[in-house]
Amino acid sequence: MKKHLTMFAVIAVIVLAVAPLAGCGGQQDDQDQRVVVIGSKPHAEQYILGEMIAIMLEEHTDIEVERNFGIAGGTANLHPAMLSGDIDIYPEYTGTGWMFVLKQDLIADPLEMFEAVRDQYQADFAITWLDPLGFNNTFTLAVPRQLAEDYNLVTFSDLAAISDQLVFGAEFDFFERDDGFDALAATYNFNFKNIREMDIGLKYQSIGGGEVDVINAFSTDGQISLFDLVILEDDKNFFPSYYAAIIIRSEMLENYPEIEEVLSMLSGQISDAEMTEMNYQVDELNREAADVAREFLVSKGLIEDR
Amino acid sequence: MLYMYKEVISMEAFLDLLNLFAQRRELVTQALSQHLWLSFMALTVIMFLGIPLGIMISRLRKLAPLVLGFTGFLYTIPALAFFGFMIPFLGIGVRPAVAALIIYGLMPLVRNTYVGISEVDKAVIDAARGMGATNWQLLRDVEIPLALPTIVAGFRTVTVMTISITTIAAFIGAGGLGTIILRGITTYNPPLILVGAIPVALLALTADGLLGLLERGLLRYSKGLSAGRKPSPQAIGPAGSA
Repeated sequence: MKKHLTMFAVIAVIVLAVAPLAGCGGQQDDQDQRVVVIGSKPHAEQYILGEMIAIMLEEHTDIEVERNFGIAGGTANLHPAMLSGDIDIYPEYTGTGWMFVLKQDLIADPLEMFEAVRDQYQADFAITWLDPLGFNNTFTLAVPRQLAEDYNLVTFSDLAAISDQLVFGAEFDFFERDDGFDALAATYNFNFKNIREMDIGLKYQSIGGGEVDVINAFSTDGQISLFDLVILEDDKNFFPSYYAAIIIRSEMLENYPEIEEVLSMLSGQISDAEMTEMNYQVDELNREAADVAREFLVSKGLIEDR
Repeated sequence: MLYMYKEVISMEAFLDLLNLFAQRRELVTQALSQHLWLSFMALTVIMFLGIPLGIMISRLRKLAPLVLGFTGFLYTIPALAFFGFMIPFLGIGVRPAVAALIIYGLMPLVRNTYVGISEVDKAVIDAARGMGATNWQLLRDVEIPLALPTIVAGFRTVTVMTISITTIAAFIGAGGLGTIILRGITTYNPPLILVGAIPVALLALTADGLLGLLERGLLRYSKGLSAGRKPSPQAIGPAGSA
């Protein structure tokens, strides 16, 4: 249902964006038209962050905003789109940029990793990282609460001891990334009975329905409480930190310096708990990402209530 | 990053691709066997369900528009939507995938069976009846043998279709070569997409070729059958012209 609404929202935005052009009857393209394209990956948190960026720009600047949310494949397709200029701004995570895009080795200290990824992106891609938004949406593993209680599971290592009785499920890219399944299984000696690869949107449904016993999850996923799962502790610090930050094509910032000024207001504003709660609102309560984002911005005094 | 797509076409890229196949041997073999198994299970059920259903509606003509209309309607639903639709009922994994493949592949086989039997020459049927054939004998000895090439042609369509649609089953956790393609798409790795897609294409082409041979063989056989067993044209009057 939510997907339909999102789809509808996307279509509505396109129609609304195109309608004035058609209505104006042969008006020439305005070269001064200031348009930035905001992208996002295809999950609730990214839709919410994308909306926050869009709303902040709409409220504080006269730049026209185009929402191109929910890009399939996430970073794998957003990063090329940033390089080609099809997307100007999107929310990214430090660990993803450093390890997946730049293919560098893990830096354990989160701040050091942020500085490294920021500098490297600027040098290699002319993409600017604003200061992180505050929360760390790291990878983790989740199991049903009942299973955790039955086997007294607290850490990944506890899980490894009984992994040969369990089915593991994750989305396709988790099996291909360097900080993904193979390396994880090697670190903890996981030896799952069976492995299921599926669309990321089906992961929670399938663990909820008992089709799989363990899934990879993001620590701020709203569905974790919905499906009564518990998160296990990464006791060997396998997964890097994934602090979210807004990244922008530097060319856009040269043309419209006010973007940096406005979006930097979001830095350090969102805690883990606040992000999880917003994800919960969208994933579990089926609220619109735009409404949730706007409420949050109002509550923080970043925009005015309407 | 577009250069990656161009790269795929060069000779060097071709060798890289072979290399990648060798490197991911284990993944490819596993996915291929899952793919074959999924397609095989679905096709077996389709065969044992579709042909009797086609025969049934050729007996009970009143049911034909209903059954063909319904299976035709199922056929128009996009495959991806269909797999998604199965989840609330059958969960994820192999079961819903095979169920979707079966429902999806039923239509061409039912239709071809029905059409094949309906189009058996009336003169041949009259002749068989004239010789005292019972309904069952008529079906077994005349109609089915003569309709066989059309039925096999239908099965051939379904086979190729099923092999390619099985790719989509990967979305709902059923495994198969689609997982490799989706791994490639979600990690922006075009060569990996090919490592999944090429075996699917080869599989479909091979199945199509083999069933094509069978179809041609049967066509020759049934031509011989109708020429050999058909009573002499004069006996039935104007219908015969061969």
